[in-house]
Amino acid sequence: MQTTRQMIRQRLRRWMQRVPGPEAQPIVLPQRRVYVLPTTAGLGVVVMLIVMLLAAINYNLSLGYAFTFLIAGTGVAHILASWRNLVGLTLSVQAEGECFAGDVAPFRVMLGSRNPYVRHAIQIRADDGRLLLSADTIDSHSRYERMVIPALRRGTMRPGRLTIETVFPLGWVRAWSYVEPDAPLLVYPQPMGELPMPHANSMNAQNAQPTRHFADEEFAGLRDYRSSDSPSRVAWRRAARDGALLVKQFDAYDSEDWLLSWTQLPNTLDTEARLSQLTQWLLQARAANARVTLELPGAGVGPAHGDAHYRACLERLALFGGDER
Amino acid sequence: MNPQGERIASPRIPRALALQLCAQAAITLWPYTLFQPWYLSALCAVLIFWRSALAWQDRPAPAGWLLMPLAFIGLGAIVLAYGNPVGRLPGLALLSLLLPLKLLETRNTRDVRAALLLNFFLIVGMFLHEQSALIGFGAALATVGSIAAAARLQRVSLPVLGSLSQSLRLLAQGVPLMLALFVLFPRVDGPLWGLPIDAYSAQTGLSDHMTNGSISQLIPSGDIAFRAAFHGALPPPAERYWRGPVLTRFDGSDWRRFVVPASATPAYQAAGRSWNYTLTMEAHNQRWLLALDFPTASETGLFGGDFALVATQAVRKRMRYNVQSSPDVLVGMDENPWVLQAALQLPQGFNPRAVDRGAQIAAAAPEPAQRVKAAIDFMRKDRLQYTLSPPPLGRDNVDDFLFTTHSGFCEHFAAAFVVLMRAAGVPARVVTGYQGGEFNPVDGTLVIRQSDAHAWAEVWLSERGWVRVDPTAESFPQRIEDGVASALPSTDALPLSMRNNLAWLRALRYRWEAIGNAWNQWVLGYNAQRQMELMQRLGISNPDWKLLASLMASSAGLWLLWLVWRHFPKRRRLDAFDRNWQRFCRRMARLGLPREPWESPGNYAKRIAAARPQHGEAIADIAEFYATHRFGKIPPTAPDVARFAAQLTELFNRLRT
Repeated sequence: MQTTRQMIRQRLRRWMQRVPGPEAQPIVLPQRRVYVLPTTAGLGVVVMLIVMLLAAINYNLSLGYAFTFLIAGTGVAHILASWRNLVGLTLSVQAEGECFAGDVAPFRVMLGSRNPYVRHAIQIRADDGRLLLSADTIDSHSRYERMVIPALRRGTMRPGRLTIETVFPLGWVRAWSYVEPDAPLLVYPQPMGELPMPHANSMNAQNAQPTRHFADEEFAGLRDYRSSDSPSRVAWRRAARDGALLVKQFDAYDSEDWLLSWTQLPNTLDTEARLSQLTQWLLQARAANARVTLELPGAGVGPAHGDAHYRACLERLALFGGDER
Repeated sequence: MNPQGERIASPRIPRALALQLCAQAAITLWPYTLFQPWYLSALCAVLIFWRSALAWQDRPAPAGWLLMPLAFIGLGAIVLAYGNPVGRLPGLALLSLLLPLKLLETRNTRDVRAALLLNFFLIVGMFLHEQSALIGFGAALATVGSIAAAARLQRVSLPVLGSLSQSLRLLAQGVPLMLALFVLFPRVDGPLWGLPIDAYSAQTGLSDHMTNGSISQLIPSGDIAFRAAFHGALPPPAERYWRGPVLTRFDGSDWRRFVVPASATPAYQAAGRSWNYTLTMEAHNQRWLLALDFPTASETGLFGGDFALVATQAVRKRMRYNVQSSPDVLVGMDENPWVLQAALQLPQGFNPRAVDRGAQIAAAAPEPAQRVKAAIDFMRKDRLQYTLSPPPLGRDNVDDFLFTTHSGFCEHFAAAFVVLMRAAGVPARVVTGYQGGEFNPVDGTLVIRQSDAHAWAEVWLSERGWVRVDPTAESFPQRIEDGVASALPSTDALPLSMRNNLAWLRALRYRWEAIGNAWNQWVLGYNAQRQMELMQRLGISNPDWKLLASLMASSAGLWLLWLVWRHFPKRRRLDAFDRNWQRFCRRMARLGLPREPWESPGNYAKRIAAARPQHGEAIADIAEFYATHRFGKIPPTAPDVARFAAQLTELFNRLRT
């Protein structure tokens, strides 16, 4: 019994979604993909109208008839207004910036209107009903909104199936649609681990603190701030002057050459813990702009430095063991 | 249907919304102050004021336990006012207290929804008490406000005026359906189930017996008793006698009816002049219908043995009927002996001086007609005073009036005359009803108020049957010609509706009452009968519920089509404008410069200009043109679209080379 009901619900859902997997962006909601049903409050209004109609008939209340019919007509207009509030809405999701497992995925939604119709009180929910975004007004000027979706695991992540809904204008009727935007985001492993930084040229663990090398480094320039940067490297004076968060970069490849190797890690750590430790080290190396070699089973990159190299290393860590695990 | 709907419910409702709800409660509840005891209204007002003060200071709703004693105080006030917490009026009072109490404990959106439902119930509840045009107007205001509050709940960022215009827009879309269903929804006569006992308690009018002061107490009331729309000429004021209960039995203080069986056709034939009119009777919860002397034809009601028109059941809602009356017809020529016998009865030991005077009249004049004249002369000679507030009379009230106080109202004149006539051996009885009426020039109806209530007498003469004698008119003819106000001494206080000297006030009143009459006829009085009439006027000879249902379905369908057409996304000129831009973007993609989905036209233009700097200026111009018409307030005209298309093609050709 329970299983058939679940099956029916699943079928219904699949039929309603009618999109086989991630969709190309931007997504424009067509008429046939917007569904409408009364809310609990709307059902309350329906019951109220039935009671009022009976009272109007029984007591012969002409104004009772008029009021009942007026509210009923308004309710029907509400159905169409809610439906119209979604039809023609444009939406595209982008991932901006880097993201580590455990962070909030930096998904942003661009909402717009395909026609000069102004939309109000639109909400986006995750599949489990969590509210991700609430937009008060959407007109033809597209606007960005942040969506709060946690990135739980490393690897390629998509925002998943989203429910766009509205109960505007009166809350008696809910119009909704399902979208599954194709906005892939590579989630890097969570940087975590207590082990000291290994060095390629000196295997001495006592020299492992990256801060130790600051004195030897030469200032090499400024680059954009990343969330993983140490606050001590932010060019605060510059920030105070013109508000741009920049980070001081130092050339250090004369002093150090770091080898981040899977095989050097103790056997007590499992795969994810190893990847987390390697990520931690990699971020420290990036903060110091050090030359890094990353060795994973079956492949190695480096030695090299620079943003492109670090990104390549992070991608390897994120996708280690294949994307589909 | 929406398991997540309430999940975002904030713990506290925003201040602006709370204030709007308080204002809304005041708007919804004001009609209740018109009929509720003042302390109930005051309690509601205090509670609403408290809640709005809390909202104003942005403080939360008070603790729930505080509301229990308040609810008990309210219940106590209701019991104090109505003696009983069950029934129509106490029920409405309870509902009206519930709204402010609900507002006081309103914390989240669910509470707000409950308060809004209560608002709707209060709007309809008011109709149980009264459905006047004024109340209808108040209900319309309250409806607009309630819908606006519901919209505000969905979007608190909406300003009050914005929420009101949103509400009006939605309601306006519902109005065509309301009109169609109002006209076409099959009307049922009579209730589906029993009505509460007190459902009709609020109705005033003539009563089925007459004691001293029972007519004069109606005079201060400006309430409308009925309206008559004449088809043809209006009867002169002296013939506007609207016959009500006929009172024959007299026990010394009370005059009561002597029941004579009624029949479906009158016992007399129409003759001479006749008046045709439609009478709209206000509910009075009694069986009699009023008609001019003497009704000869009517499709509603029965013809009483005392020539009054009676309904088959008590008139509990406003009733419309057509009547034909003939003033010159002779009635009661072959009157039953027991009716005449009853019309001669006098209680033993009452009014000895009047009985004595009647005997003297009988001794002096052998002919009954002469006796009638003698009695009229006697009353006129006695210089009686006509006043609304006569001094109190004793046990022998007719004696006191005729010989001691000399002042009384029409009921005293009629009663004294009938006693004199009976003492003189002429069958006589008292007739109560209304005399006169005011012509409303705005809608051409004659309006008869409770203040037109009157009592006169009828005597039976063997060669003429029952003949009307109005002793008041004989003594004070201006009462009949110009109304009560002109016959009364100037020291008597008169209700506003009866004052003749304020012309502008009178004109205003005519207008307002004409509106009231139209409202009654076409809105409140729209019943099964009116529906049938309207359908017949529209050419549908035999409308049954099946036909009405199909008409209803088709008009609702048409309305729905209109609504869908209104809301359906339309292809506009803008789309042609957009299509050109999109074609340009596709072409640019083939050149290796695709527009990213998040790029605005301006940003995209900058990027193209960076890639092809030699055309930068032309590209920027086009992007600006597009943005101005696409997002700005000026929609593109047809030439704009054509020019834009040409520019895009030219630009593309230049970029390609």
